[in-house]
Amino acid sequence: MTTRLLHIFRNTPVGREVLLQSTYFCKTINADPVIYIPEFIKFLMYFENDVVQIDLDISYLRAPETARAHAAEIVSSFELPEPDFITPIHFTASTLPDIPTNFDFMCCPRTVSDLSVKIGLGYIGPRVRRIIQSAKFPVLIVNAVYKPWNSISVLFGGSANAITALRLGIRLSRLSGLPLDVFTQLGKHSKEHYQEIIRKEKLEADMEQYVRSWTVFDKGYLMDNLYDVPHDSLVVLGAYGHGAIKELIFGSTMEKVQSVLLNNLLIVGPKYQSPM
Amino acid sequence: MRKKFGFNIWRYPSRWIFFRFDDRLLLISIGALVGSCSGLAAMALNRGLIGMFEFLHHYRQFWWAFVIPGIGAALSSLFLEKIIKEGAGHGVPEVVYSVSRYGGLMRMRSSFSRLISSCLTIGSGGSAGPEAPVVMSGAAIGSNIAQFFSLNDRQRVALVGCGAAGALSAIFNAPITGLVFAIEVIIGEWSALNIVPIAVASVFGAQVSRLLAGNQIAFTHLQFHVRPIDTLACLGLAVFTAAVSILLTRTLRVSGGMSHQIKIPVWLRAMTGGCIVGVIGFFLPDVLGEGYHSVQLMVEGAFSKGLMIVSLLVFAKIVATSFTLGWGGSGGIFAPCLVIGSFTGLMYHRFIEVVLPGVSWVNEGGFALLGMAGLISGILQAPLTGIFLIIEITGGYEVILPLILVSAISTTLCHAFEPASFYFKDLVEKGHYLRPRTDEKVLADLSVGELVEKDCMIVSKDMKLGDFVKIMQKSHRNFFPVEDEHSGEFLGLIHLDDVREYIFDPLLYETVFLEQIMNPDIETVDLDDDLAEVLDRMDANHLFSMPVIANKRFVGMISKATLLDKYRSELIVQTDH
Amino acid sequence: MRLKIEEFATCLQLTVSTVERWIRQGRIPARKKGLLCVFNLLSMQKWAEANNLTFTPPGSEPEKKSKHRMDNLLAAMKRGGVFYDVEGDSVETVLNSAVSHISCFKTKAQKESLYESLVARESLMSTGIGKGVAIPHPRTPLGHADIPAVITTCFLKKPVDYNAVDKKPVNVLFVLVCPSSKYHLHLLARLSFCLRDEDFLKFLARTPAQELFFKKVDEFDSRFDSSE
Repeated sequence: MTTRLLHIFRNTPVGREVLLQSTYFCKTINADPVIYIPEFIKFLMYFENDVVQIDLDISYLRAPETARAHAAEIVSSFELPEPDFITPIHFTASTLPDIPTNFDFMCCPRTVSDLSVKIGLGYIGPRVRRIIQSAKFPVLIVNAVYKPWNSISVLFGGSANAITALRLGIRLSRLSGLPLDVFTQLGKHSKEHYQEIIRKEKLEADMEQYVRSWTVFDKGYLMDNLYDVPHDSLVVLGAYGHGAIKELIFGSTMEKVQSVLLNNLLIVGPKYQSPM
Repeated sequence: MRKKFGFNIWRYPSRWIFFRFDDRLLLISIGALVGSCSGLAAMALNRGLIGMFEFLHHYRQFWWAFVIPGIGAALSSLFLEKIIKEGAGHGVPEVVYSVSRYGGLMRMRSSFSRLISSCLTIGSGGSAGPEAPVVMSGAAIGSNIAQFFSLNDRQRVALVGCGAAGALSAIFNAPITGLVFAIEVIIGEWSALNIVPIAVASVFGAQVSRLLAGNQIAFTHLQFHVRPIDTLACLGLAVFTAAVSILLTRTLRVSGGMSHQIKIPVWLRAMTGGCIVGVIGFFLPDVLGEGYHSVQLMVEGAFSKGLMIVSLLVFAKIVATSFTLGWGGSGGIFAPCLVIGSFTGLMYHRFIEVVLPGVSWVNEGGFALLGMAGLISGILQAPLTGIFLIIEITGGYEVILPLILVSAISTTLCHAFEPASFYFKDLVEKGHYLRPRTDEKVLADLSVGELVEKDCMIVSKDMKLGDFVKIMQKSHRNFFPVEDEHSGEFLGLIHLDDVREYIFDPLLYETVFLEQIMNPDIETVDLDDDLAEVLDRMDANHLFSMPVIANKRFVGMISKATLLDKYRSELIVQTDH
Repeated sequence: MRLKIEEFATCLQLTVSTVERWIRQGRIPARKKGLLCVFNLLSMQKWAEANNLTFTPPGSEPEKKSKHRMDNLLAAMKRGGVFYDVEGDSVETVLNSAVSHISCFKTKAQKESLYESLVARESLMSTGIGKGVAIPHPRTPLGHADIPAVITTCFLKKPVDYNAVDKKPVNVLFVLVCPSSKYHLHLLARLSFCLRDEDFLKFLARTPAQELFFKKVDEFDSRFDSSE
């Protein structure tokens, strides 16, 4: 089965950068981009137990006559076959199309639904967060400037989601042939605890084969230690799926990380199922 | 992990030991909660409308009062478009759509958006009803409560029905109507599994309404003494109501289509429509708002206007309703139906009094009542909802015989001219009207991805026939997809029939490449295609199987044989309750 | 009981996506917890039965298919045995003495019915495939399901005119008796693979001893498997 990445294209210079990021990702891991060029300002995504309405900003509707050609041009510049374009089949209301959700990845700029000004200001839009919460696919959160990456970094904190993130990192490393680095911030537990988790999950062999280095920070704060994450790497991490209230009080690691780290992020939500 | 689970267990009631035994108990308890909540929402709209009415009452006498409905409609459409970012419309089709396709998943914002927007439209005098918005809110409340508790689709659909039932039974103080409407219109499946929680929700919705507004019957009336001759006369009334129903449906559609051709901002469009309604209302104030006041007068038999005026009112109300709803106002069709229906009943009564003087008919209120039933049944094509609604909101059980007759005939006649009811017209046209246990539903639930058979052997276009013959010996299938070795692109298909004449000639083994044999013009299926459409294409091209392609790569074959297999097991599973 | 969703789908012989959808839609008495399916084994089996499906929990493998697995040439030949200097000077007499050697058919009635069906088959069209080889066999499988597939190899005492396709006399018989047509084709394909080979024919003409013969057959068996 082919691996497919959903990309919402916007026919502006910013949109070009974002599509370049997506296409680079697809090229590297041998996936196919599937592009939706919005015709309406909003669309719906029906997930397993949630429906998310995404209200785009007006720039997504710019210059529709050239959008398709531009998108195809960017994709083909990476020597990928011409991408599939989504034409919505179902409409909840006449101006409210439903976009399918059976993809393997989805690319979002830091925020899909708000003004592009906010991009890069350390803010994951509420919609993107909802998508991460409900989607079966990991979400690729990219910056508004195209920057290729040459390695993969996994932030591994030992939770169930972090394990799926680690699995995903290993899978990406296998697909792309790029080196994989793992970073762990020690909290209450020692390094042995994490090794034990990996042993339980039968990931030892894969760790041995794909992981270039496993950096364990035993002091300081994660936010400060993140300086060691290579600047040209794709950072894979799990969103921890806390309840909304808990998140409001404590803030999630995902939010903290993404405010510090401007690398491209691949975020694994609680509903993600790693293909075996 | 364990701690987190413990913390959140209250959000997963289906895991409680108490409910694990049977989810019916779970549905009943949550249904009661949903019914109460949607009942509250309904009462909130009711209060809001009364408040708006009282507030605007003083301005009605001014000459510029005709702009009030315009402003209301403009505000309501601005609110929906810009703040809530939802489309206009009354919402019931949206509920049915989500029930049909997505197991009743609805957005949070739907649970209040229509309440506010329809309050603005109707309160300012637009000709529309509060019922459909309330139903949508109730349904969205049900859906969101189900989402919060992580319930599955079947349970969620039941709760959507609960929400709709609770809301409707609260706003009319009519629990049976709520129940029947939810089953007949929203869910479309009569099974005990749905009926029980919805009935409970209805009870709770009505109870909330009685607590807050008192137990009153919406339209009190005199005693009717229905004689056989009246029942006979009803046959004529049914024809009248059917005609008016069809007229209303068509006018609504034409006005909607017309408004979309005018290229002005939505709020301006809504405002124009509202102002037109205002102008009509200036001369015939009975058409404004939900119009229950005039219904009350008619049912009581205290509506004094003559035949001509009443006939005019029928058409004026139709026009006003279509300008309100078709041009971007927000609200439902229920209340206008009742108003138009009672006008029609009255009109008919006045008419037969003129044609057949001397005969003493039942009180004109009785005919108004029957007219309402006829119109509701005709527009919704839901006879049970019409019958129970009228009985419950008037308490007039004496008219039950003609009532059933009018409902049945009106529904049948309307169905002959308008095969799909007003609510479902768009859904049917787009193929979204999927009732449980139907062919469409089964096909919509199955996806191409579930049916793909992946045991085909893929060959490359540069392969020689000789090598291909060896591969053929091992394959179980008659089809061999050909792809480009480098790009992995799907190029065409080889069927055994295509090569039959060559494979026995070893001379060709080394000289013929598969590219030369394959059939490149093949109908292909996309992973996201609808199965119904795929089947149509198979039938049109007399195919038994088609290749499935995703991003130009071969995924597998889809065949009618597997489809039948899966279709059958799906049908068995879906019809097993 | 909990299983991974893939395992769960395998138990029901359904695709993962179907099972996931059924769980989501609440059509199946199981629920998802992360990547696991949680269900009650008993109610699951009851549900499967009511819905015309089968649920086989992992571990309780369905009965081994090896019972129906088809043997290769060597095993069938070892069961049938190799006989030398088989008497006879016509098709009927040769077949009669060949049948008398087949040990699987013990009763006289069995042997007779086998003989009759072999002769009937020959009268239809000779099974002499040329180059001195004939493969007598019943046209339809005999009704003895308990008798395994056998190939009895008979080297004749003197060549017999068998009405073979190439009109040459026959000196080797492979009597092929199988419980099913499919099995028959299976063995026939292997046998004809050997007989297409010139070396094998030459080898047969030398009337090899049993051990040598079996060794050769074994060699061809593995050659056939590797070509498959």
